[in-house]
Parts: sequence; structure tokens; C-alpha cells
Amino acid sequence: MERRPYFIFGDVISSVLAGAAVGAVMAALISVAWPMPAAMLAGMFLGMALCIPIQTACSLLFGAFEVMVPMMLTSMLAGMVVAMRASMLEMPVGEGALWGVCIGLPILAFTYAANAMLAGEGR
Amino acid sequence: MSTSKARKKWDDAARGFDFMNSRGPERRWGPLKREFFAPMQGKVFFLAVGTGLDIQFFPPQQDVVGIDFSPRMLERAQPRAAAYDGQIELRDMDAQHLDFADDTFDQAYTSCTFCSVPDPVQGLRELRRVLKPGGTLRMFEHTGSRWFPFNVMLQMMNPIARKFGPDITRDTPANVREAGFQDVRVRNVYLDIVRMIEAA
Repeated sequence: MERRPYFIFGDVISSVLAGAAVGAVMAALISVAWPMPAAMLAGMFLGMALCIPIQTACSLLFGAFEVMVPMMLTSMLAGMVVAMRASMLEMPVGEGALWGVCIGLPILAFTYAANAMLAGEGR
Repeated sequence: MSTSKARKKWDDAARGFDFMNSRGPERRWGPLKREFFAPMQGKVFFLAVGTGLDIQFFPPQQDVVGIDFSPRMLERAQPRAAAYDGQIELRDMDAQHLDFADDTFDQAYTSCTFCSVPDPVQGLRELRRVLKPGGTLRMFEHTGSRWFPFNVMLQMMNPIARKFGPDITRDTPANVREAGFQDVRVRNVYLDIVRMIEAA
């Protein structure tokens, strides 16, 4: 379990950045003209693609897989959920970003919990 | 991927390797790597040395032979090897075809290596061949995950990861067993993705 404040701060910032960026872009790109399944699929893949440069930058400062895993999961899920929501109702960019952050932080908590469960174990 | 293509990929990556890895990843893993390398003793084989970032974590006064199949990586590793308080010989060599006699080394170390060796089982068989009977293999590696959703995400990311660097889905503990190592112990460092593996 990571206990160094610098890296915990880095993990939080990375997940917030990934969620906010992906959520904002999906809210800007997806409109009610999109069929929902297409919007969700596009959101997931575009979210991942958008996250790659952000993740590369965050990895330089905060670590490799510990940063990549929550950021990529955040971008996939935030992309999918915000795109789905934006295909149903018009969504302001700021609201999309907020949705992304609200998805990213629980995902980070989930990866911390999963890591605590798996730490030390091996096969 | 062929060995020549893999060599070219890592030669190309050498220039930006330290920039990408020397701050975040190495600082994050630094304490663990120091602990990982601490049991070094006897004639030690380090595969693959890369730009030598890991040398800072070696305990002093060791006798190490480090190899890499990327000449550009080795060029960058040279000053770090020269500054080490001990002996490090660097050689340009392919992990799948080691130019050492059987039973040469007491210990072998790898650090994020077997994500990139084109034929990992062949490379591990070679490692086993050059280790003395009773010698130990210690690995700090990232692997695929068997847990959802991490396994799905790594599978989706892998085509991009492989284009610019390592394979992120390999089952390295299984490869170690397939190569003939008997006593294989695994300790997870991050999820079941970053792991320390010890085998004899």
C-alpha cells in the first residue's frame, strides 16, 4: 500500500485529470443526435485514446503501472458513462468534467483496495 | 516480433528512456528495488541492463556481468557502470542466445526484462543453463493480470504498448516454470501486475 504523500497526491491528481479531461471532451463531442450504443462505444475508445498523452505525462512524475491502471480504467468508464449521458440529455462541458472526476476517484479507491487485497500474494 | 526488430525498437527508445523512467517509476520503485537487489552475492548476471538505471540500487562491492541487446542502451549504461562501487562488465548480447558456458553464475537478476524478450521461455531456458546448480533467479517484472477489470484493460492497451515498448500481458511466472525452474515464488508489488519472482 502506497503511504508516501507525494505519490498518493500524484495518484489523486492523475485520476482527477483523466476523469475531468475525458468527461469534458465527451460532453463537448457527443450530442443527443448520437445513438446511445454508438456513443458509449465511441466514448470508451476515445476516452482511452485521449488518456494516453495525459497518462504519459503523469507517469513521468508519479510512476508507471500505479498511474496507468487507474487512469486507463477511469478514461474507459468516464468516456462510456459521460457519452451515454450526453446522448440522452445535452450536457455542459463542466458537468461532463465533474462526472469524470466523480468516476475517477472511486476507481482510484477501488485500485487501492484491490492492491491491498493482492499485495504480497502470488501464484 | 523478430529479435532484430526488437533490437531496433529498444535502440530507438534509448534516447528517451531515462527521461521517461528516471523520475516517477524509479523513484516509486526505488525502495523496493533496493530491497530486491540486496541479496546479491557471488558471480551475478544482470539481464538486461538497459541504460543502467538500476545500477544505483545494487549493493556495493559486487561482481556483476550485465548484458543488453541494444547497443544504444549499453552506451548510456556505460557511465553508470563506471561509477559503480564494485565491478560491472557490460556486454552486447541477446538473452535468447547467451555467450556464456553452462553453470557460470551464482545468481541472475532481471528487471522489467521479460516483457520485451521476443521468446521469453527460450531466454529463461538460457538463464537456467548459465546458472550454477542451486543458483537463484530473481526477477522484478510486470506481467498480465488474471483479475477483472485489470486483465481486460491490459489486453486492450497491449497493441499500443507493444508498438512502442513492452508486452503488458505476459504470464512470466508460468514462463519461468515452463523454462524448467522448479521452486518458483511470487510476491505481488502492485496488484498482480508488478511482481517479484524468485526461482531456483
